[in-house]
Amino acid sequence: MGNKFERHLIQPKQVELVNEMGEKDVFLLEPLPFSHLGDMFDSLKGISKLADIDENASEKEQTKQILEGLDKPTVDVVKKLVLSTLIASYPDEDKVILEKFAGQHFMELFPIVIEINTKTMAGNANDQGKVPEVKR
Amino acid sequence: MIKEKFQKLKGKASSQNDAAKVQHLAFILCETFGWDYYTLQKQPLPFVLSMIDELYKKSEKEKKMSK
Repeated sequence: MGNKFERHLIQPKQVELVNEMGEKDVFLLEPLPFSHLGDMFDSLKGISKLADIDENASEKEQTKQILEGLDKPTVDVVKKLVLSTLIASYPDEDKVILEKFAGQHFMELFPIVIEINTKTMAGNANDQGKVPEVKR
Repeated sequence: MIKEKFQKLKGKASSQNDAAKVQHLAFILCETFGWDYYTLQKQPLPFVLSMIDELYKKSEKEKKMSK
């Protein structure tokens, strides 16, 4: 549960991923430092150019539409933000593995990265209010 | 699911103008706290953004009061 000081720190965000074998893992993602502000604005600017996505399409088709709608600089900056988040959250993990992981999961992780970094301190405390008890 | 997440992000999209505004307010934060630019860069983004938000609200309130 943590003590009262820990409860009011910026909390990492829990992300659950399930692979094709049905194996489930939980990841804890930490916020980025302020030095990434420019990249965050650049990524959101690139995403604002996305055309509307077909509501009736399957998730796979929607993913394809999003990927096709993003230009290369936006995809690069999105991957960079996801990778930086993973490195900040798991500094001891092999960087090569994290790079592969970021490349394969950036679509799922990017919205979460933005959510963590734009959440205000008050919002953070209200939404979660406790330190998650999850092993890395 | 993916569509909803990305539509939400599109709503958050900001212009370069906003980035410049945030940077400007961040410099004011530095003056307030006596931080140098390097210290600012190391602070967690949500922490700085929430402080900037407070600063912005305060200045808007002061503007209204002075009218």
